[in-house]
Amino acid sequence: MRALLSSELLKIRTTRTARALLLAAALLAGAATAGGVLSADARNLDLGTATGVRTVMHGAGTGSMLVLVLGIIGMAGEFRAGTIVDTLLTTPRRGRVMLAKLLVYAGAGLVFGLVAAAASLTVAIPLVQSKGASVDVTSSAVWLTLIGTISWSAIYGAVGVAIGALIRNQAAAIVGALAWIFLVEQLVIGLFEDIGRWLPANAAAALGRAPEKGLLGMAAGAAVLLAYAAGFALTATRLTMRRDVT
Amino acid sequence: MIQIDGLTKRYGERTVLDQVSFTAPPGEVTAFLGANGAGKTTTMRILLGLVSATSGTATINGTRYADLPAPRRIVGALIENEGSHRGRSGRDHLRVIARAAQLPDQRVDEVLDAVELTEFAGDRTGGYSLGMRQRLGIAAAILGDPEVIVLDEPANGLDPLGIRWLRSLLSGMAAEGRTVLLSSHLLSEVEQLADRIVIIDHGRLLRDTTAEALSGTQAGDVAIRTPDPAALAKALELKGIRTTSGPESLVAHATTPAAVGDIAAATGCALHGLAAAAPDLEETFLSLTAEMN
Repeated sequence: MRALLSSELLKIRTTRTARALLLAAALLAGAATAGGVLSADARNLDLGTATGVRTVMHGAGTGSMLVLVLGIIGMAGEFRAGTIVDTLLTTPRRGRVMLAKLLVYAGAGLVFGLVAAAASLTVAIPLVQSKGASVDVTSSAVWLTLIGTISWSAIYGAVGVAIGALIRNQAAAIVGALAWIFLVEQLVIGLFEDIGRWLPANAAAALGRAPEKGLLGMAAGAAVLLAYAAGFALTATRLTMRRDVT
Repeated sequence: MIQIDGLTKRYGERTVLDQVSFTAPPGEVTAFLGANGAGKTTTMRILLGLVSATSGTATINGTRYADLPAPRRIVGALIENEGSHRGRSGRDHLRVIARAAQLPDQRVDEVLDAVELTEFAGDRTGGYSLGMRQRLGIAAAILGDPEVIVLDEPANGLDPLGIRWLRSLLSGMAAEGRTVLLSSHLLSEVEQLADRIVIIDHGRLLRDTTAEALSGTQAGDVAIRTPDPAALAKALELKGIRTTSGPESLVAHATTPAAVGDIAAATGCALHGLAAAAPDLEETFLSLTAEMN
């Protein structure tokens, strides 16, 4: 298993994809955080309150979308490039390949989450100060939100791998996943809050302590997202073990 | 040793492989021939555990691929649609495999050298030519120094020099006692190399034989030199053998030198020369597959 994990890590390190996405995730998190601070006045948001701080720090979770994309590329990309053949010839026990990928991409998600959190804090601290409030890193509104966004990112890494194994066409998997998150789930929660809050991306937003109304609490969001992730991972693994690779 | 036994693969109603059985023994090069779509790649994919069989078995030294403890050290394979990430260098492509297979990085440099890619090892594979990619695939196949080699259309994209290199590589491996199975849709590609020839068409086994037997049993053209071509031609035609005549020479079609010699003796025609035209395996192969259609 150690050899397999090391091989997966080497795959990530030897192309530019992950580095480019990591940079993009940091920029995205910083921009979302800056946007939160700058639009605070327009939204009558008091940056001094816990809700205000959560709104700003929640921006650190935006990079998770790119972790999802990274996970999809990590799996579906192997079918696209044809490297899946080499991967399976080396390790014909496909369950082990799936487990290694799920773990490695969850780990990559963790790194992305930490970098995004650092980027958000770097942007938030001076910007919030310039608005006359302050970001108190020791307050739960800050660290709990960041723990939430980092976990969100880690879980999305594994979910991306599962989606990439279920939908082996890389472009279809990426477009489908993003359309689901930004169109379907937004629409459902807008129309039927009681249903929408239980959907995976809305549960993820709850884990990242998004201040929007209608979402689950952080712990419930975490539990629901983990349940979805486990379900996706198991289904994807079983399907991968059974499917022909042509 | 590769053993394919009663292999059948159906996709719904469509039968891609129908009870295919053959053996590729160690120390020999077995050519696996058939037109595109005959079922060669499917057979190899099943052998390598990438595709499941509807029924039948495919084993390597008696074990299914998926049950081999360290498959890269036992089997080396190159299969259609296998590829490398365009943005990854050739060396890194092999290092990724070596890492998972627990082979030393030093082995990567050795195989890069063996396929003559060392100079380009640091370049992204997106810039490789078709032939270079094929060499990289062969490098991956021999990375684990395997005793069984399975190559699907390995000559694809190789220039004549590359094909010659591949031939010497493979015959060398067979000489070392390894099992070599290679598929091709062109018999001429493997003719000089193959010890055994397995032909499939439309998913069914047509021939499983030695290269010698395949060419020896086939009737072909026989070139005859005789002072009296007209008389011999007449005698041959009487026995139902078609001929084409020239001055002091004659070509008898679809027969063997033995048959021609016997007829000449019986007729009392002098023979100055008798030679079977080099047996054309390609013709044999095409006529075999044509019979099926």
